[in-house]
Amino acid sequence: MLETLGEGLGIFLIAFLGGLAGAVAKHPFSFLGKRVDHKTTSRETLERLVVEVLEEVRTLSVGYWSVDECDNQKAAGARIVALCDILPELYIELFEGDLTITRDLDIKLNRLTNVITGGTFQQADRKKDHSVISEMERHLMSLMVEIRLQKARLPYPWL
Amino acid sequence: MLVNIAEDFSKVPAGRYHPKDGNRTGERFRNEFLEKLLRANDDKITVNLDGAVGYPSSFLEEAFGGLVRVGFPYETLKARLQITTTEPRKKRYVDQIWQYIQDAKDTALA
Repeated sequence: MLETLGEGLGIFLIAFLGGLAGAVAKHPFSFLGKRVDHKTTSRETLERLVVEVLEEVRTLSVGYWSVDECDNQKAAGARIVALCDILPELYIELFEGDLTITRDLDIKLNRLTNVITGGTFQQADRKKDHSVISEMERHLMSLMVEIRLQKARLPYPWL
Repeated sequence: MLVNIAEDFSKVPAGRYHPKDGNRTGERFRNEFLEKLLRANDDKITVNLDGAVGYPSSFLEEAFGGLVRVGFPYETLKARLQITTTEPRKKRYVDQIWQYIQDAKDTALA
């Protein structure tokens, strides 16, 4: 009788400990899974925002440099400056302040802003200039491609 | 001496030449702040970029690159001018400003 009781208790203990181990093990994995999902979503949102800002800069720049300086384009000029100022905030967040990556992106963004907001930008006698649009396209694409490549190279978001 | 462009000059700096491009231009900032302070004495000047909505390249080029064109040697500017910001997103302007000063020097030499 005692032997049967001992066996029953043993089976119970094994089942109990197994269940406990499963419950304990499940929690961190589920936590990790949620964290990975959250980080992946966050990265995708930031990438989407970067692309949206760059698309807006492109549209505004094409409009701005397609006509001579006029009152209608003053707001576009101001928006271009503000959007280019905000852009690094997004990629610094996306790449978690990794200096090697963000420095390269800063250089590319400086080349882009130098083309769009340099020269006769916001000058009273500015003339339309389609060569600025071509140059802008080259630098904007270079920046967009670099951001997407670097995002694809980010390590799996375990931590 | 510390100059904060947003607080002392304009939160929305824009344009190159004064007065034809407006009142917040690079030329006006250079005349009324940078040149004035550089000529006043031999003190170092710190220009802080915090707080502005952004800096168009034409403004920065005229304000800082223009210093070389009005006669300040590159070496003097390197020794006396410091560009700072506490905003991570504005750090790129620091490199851009020094690039404009360097380019102005190279153009002057060519």
